[in-house]
Amino acid sequence: MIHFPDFVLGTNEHCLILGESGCGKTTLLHLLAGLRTPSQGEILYNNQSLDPLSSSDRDIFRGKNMGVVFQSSAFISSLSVLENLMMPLMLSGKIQDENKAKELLSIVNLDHKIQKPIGELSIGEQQRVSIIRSVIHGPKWVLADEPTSALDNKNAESVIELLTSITRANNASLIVVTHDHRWNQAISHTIKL
Amino acid sequence: MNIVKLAIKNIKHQWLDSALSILLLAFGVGAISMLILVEKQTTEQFNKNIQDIDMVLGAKGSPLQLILANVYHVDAPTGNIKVGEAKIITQNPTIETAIPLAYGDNFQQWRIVGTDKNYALHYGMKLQQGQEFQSEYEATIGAEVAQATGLKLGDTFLSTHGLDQEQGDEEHAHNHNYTVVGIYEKSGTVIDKLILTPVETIWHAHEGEPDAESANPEITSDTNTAATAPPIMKKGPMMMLRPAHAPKAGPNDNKEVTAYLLKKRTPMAQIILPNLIKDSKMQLALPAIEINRLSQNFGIGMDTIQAIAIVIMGLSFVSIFVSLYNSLKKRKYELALMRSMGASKWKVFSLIQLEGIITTCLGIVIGGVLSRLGLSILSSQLNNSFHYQFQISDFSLGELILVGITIVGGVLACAIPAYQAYKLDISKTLANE
Repeated sequence: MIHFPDFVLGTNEHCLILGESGCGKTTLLHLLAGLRTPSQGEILYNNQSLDPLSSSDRDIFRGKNMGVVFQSSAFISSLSVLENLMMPLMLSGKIQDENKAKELLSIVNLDHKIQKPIGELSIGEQQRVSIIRSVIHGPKWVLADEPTSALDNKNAESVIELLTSITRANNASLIVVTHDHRWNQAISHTIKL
Repeated sequence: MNIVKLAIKNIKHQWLDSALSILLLAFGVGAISMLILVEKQTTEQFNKNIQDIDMVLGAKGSPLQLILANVYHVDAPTGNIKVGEAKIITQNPTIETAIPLAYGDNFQQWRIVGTDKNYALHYGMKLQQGQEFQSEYEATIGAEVAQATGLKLGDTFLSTHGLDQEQGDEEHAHNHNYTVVGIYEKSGTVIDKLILTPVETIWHAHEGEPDAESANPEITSDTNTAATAPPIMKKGPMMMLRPAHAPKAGPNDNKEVTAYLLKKRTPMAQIILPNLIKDSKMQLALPAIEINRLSQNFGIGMDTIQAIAIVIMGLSFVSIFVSLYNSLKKRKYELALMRSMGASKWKVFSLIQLEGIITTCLGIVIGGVLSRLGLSILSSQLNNSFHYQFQISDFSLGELILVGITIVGGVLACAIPAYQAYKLDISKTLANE
């Protein structure tokens, strides 16, 4: 059993959850994303709990309202950069706007690689694409699990800057769970586990 | 992007595994589909040509050969019989019609058959051009003969002795010119492949050649003392089978024909007639029985090929299952990722099922193409040997059932991997990566 402290995150706010390996950071993120249900306690999203919802309704809620960034660059390997970016739009039933994908990719200087197979991009490039993917469908909450752990300082700085700025620009709240202290300066609201 | 496009992309991404499954399935489906079409078209051809021919009277030998040679024209004849001797059968009251067939010559490997007008009437032939043959050396030709040889109305040609002599075999050519007086419409029957002429033409062309007895000295009969006399009837109960009137002698009794196609007036004919000629050098063969026997023998080979094809199909389903099962292990994280982006359990289940169904459908389509390719090769060989062809564009109900069974097999083969994808623990999968 892992106990998590109570906390409230306002609209457009950013929150950093810091903790060492094995303390339950990923479990917390999965609970927040509705990928698993808490054995005790409650998580409310705009005063709505996901617990009474069916598995299918939780999937729909997550698809429409959340974006998730993972530690490793997680993509569907058979698809191109653009097609991977279209996935959240497809799964949340939103219009698959390729121009929006191009526009967002141009922010991270990857618009010229839009048709490339995702596997052809470097780890740093892939992480930037995964951040774009987490916001392309306009979610209310972006959840990031160790988004910079595998990156060197230069790439980590760029990802921290991108994730914070792009969520602000898209009016999304951001929760980052990490053991990476390079985030300390970017997000002031910190919870230590 | 949509789920079908995603499934296709996934199949392409693991093309080696997919290709193996598709190829195995294609070979299985192709082989079974080809067998279905061969069986269907062969049966249709057999039935079309056998229509209302109850018996065939010809020289002793293999009854199957007698049928194949005289009903389907795909084998050499068993020999000739005398017109006079045959009258015991052809003029028997139990026989409604007896169509004479006399042949032994060809034009560019197309058989020239001497007969009477009943032959074309029997098959309901219609004329495309010209008229039926009237007198000696007039020929009415089948549609396929006209197409292959380029013969037109009024054209003349020389016949070559034998049934499969090559074109231009001057040494064995007859001297008389045949004239094309008519061309039949295509009927799908054996007449499409024949050149018909009065039976007298064949007699005239072969005048002076040794007759059936001297050509087949090993065949003896009780009737060789009087060609026109009916065989001696045995005493006892068989006496009642004697025809009411003895056959009348005629001017052509000493002439020979290859066979008679017989239509019976009463079912008793099949019981009575064989006894009348059992001591002669003639035989009566029943097409239905011989073709049934041929189908049974042919069927053993077909069943073996079919069994092999079913095993290949079974293997292909195992291959689809293994391919999807293995890919699921590799793609577990990707599927969990899709779930984290809002894909429902049913969506990932459908995705895996769709991949299996698309793989199966590709196998079916390629199998269909392979079956037509095989049929085309078989057809070409058959055409060279017997002037018979298979219809490549044909489609049968059996194939439709095969498609249905294959799709169900494909769905079942990917049901377990799809269910595993459905039951995937997203949190555990994402955490373990």
